[in-house]
Amino acid sequence: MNVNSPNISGRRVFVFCLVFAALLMDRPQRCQAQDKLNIVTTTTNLKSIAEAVGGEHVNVSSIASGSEDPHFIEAKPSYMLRAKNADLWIRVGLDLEIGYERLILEGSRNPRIHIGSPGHLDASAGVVPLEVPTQKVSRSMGDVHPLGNPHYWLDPYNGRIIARNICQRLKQLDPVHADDYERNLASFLLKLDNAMFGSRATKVIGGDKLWKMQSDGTLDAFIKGYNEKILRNKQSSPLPGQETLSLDGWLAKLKPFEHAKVVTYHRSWSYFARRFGLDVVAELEPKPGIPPGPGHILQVMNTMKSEKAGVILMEPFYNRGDAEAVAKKTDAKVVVAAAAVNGQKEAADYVALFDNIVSRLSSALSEVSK
Amino acid sequence: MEMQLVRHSLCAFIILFFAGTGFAERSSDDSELRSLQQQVTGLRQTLKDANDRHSAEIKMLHEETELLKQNQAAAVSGPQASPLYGIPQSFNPDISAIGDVLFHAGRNDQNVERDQFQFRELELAFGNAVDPYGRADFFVAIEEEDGEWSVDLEEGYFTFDTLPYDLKARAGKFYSAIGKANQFHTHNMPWVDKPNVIRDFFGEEGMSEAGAELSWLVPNPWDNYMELIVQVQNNSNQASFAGDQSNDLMYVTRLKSFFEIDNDSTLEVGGSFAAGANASTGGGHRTNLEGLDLTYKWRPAQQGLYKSVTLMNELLFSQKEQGTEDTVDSHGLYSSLEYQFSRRWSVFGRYDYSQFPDDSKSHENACSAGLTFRQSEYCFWRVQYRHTEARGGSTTDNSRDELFLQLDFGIGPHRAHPY
Repeated sequence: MNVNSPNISGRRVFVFCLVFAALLMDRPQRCQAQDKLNIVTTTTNLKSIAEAVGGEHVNVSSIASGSEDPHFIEAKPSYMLRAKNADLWIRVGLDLEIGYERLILEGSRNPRIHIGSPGHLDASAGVVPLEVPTQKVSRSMGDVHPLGNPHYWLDPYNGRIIARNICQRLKQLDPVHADDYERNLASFLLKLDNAMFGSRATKVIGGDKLWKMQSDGTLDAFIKGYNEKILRNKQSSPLPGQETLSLDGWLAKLKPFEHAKVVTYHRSWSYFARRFGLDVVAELEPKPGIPPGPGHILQVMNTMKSEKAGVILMEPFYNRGDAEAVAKKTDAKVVVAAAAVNGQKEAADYVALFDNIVSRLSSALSEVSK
Repeated sequence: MEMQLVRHSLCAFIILFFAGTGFAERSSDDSELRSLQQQVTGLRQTLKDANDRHSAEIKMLHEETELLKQNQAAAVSGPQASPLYGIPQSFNPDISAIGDVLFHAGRNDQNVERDQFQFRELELAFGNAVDPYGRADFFVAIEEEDGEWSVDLEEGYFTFDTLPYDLKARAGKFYSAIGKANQFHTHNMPWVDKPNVIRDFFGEEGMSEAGAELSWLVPNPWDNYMELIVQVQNNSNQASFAGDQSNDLMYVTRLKSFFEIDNDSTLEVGGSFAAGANASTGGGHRTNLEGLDLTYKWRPAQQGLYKSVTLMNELLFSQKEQGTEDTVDSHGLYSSLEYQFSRRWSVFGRYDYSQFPDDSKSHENACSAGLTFRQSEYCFWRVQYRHTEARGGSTTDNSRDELFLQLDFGIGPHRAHPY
């Protein structure tokens, strides 16, 4: 660092530039000596699905731990270190990671996971987003996402899309194990379908068809018709093994509460509510990301009374006190359920995440409906 | 005639034969016929069932095809294709404008200061990818000083973020990597003012010079984040280096290490070194600066929206060679603690001690305390009280009491900040 004359410093700068130019021109692709693909996901939900699809061929770590608000993650340097060795970066997308992703990707010095590279996967590809603004957005609307509500993983159907996206990318990055990824994907989808509809309905009708009919609202009629045919056949010419069908799983557990009115803390449950037929009548936040104030709380309480909403659904990272105060005055129940894997200890993976939400929600709804 | 008779007889015989046979069968097995009738009815029903099923399936397939078509259309022309995200806009840089308004009330021993409002700074930030090899960021500050408005390029650089060997580089104008506080932008500071040590050693605006930077993630056996930064910049800083007489370069090196103590708390330790000629008293004289910084942060994952603690400390040493072959050895430090106690509110306190790079016999002691209200992610209010005592050397002993009220507000997407 001893610079005694401009000549010497000029020479140093020249060497600096030369080395730098050489680095720019020669940019070899790094080869991974290890067998397993390193995957870094932004959330634990993506991690759980990536582990299910990747199986033994991947190492997955998540930036978020599952306990925190996914909107407010800070770009800790340790995350850059993790991203440095990643072969694949998977994000939720729809601007959920806008506050930190760029800093981590840049800080990682890993061009393989930059946006647009095969090592960068936006899991929302193919998801139909809800609440896409139809007019120019501004921050007067709170923390709105111009691309739509980013909490889409809370619809298990979108979990299928995420899994397919991941599988496709893994096959591209690691074609040698393509068959394994396909097999893992099939078994993940089966597990998810079984949990959603019950294993018998999935086996007899098939997952794809069930999701299709559930989305169309034709599933109940189909099951009814199916059962009527079985009964008719039984009377005329009974065939062995033909039994009537009934749905099981998450759908059946929440079926009795179809169109139940609920209030949520943040606008994060839209996808879940739509899939399971719940009506979200109000949010405790006056606008997304804006903490509740007394005036808005009063308004929510009036809405809850007039709409007969008996449940306030919220994530563990929000202030429970706000919700409890409202619940006390409206005779409602507060359901604290993690919206992310590992947000509560019961939510150990993507399927258990819904087991947990459905079980907490259905028991609260059955209590308030008594 | 004979032929006709034969023909008639034959016809009668055939009619009688068939009629006879039919009658015989009908009478012989009625129950078999009923069984056949049942079979036909069963077959008819099975056929109808199969037909119904196939029709339903075909209808469903048609619907599925329609849905797929719609989904595909949505995926292609969805939100991305709305007029808000049209092609021309997507090449525009992210543009943000951040205003900082201050009300300052001050009293010193002589009571000569005026209370007044000040539009301290309008920061315009532009940033976007230039090409697949890097991105550009510009931070333009429009400031009022003694009634005059000036436009100053706070920072403006190109970042090469696709270099191999864990390297990253910048070229342009940027803050020197000495400690942390020197690199804060106004809207990102946890206080109203920069610590005394930063202002005394680098000037009101901090040290931001034109130059080039190379940084490297240092591999280490502990697998910790360790970053080595080397900067070459003009030595045109007024306070510690050559100022207007700058015709040489300054070299800055910083080694920063980051530890995750547990899920909720982190520790960052940094050491910085800067060296360059200070031409203020003629050629050949140099300034060496050494800095140490330590930052501890606590933010519990689940309660992270409502609670956090940040403890930040910096220590700076300077050896500035003077004309008489004397070297002025001076130092300064600050220690700051911020506690966020609810979603929007936090309190902070800071202690400052600072000598001057040209005068180690004088020093300033300052204590600050304040309160921040974060109205939203893009707007905050802050009140800060500062008591400063200047002692010794060339400065007249005096003390000052100051009150700041700050409103900082921004529009645009600029919000991703280094940890």
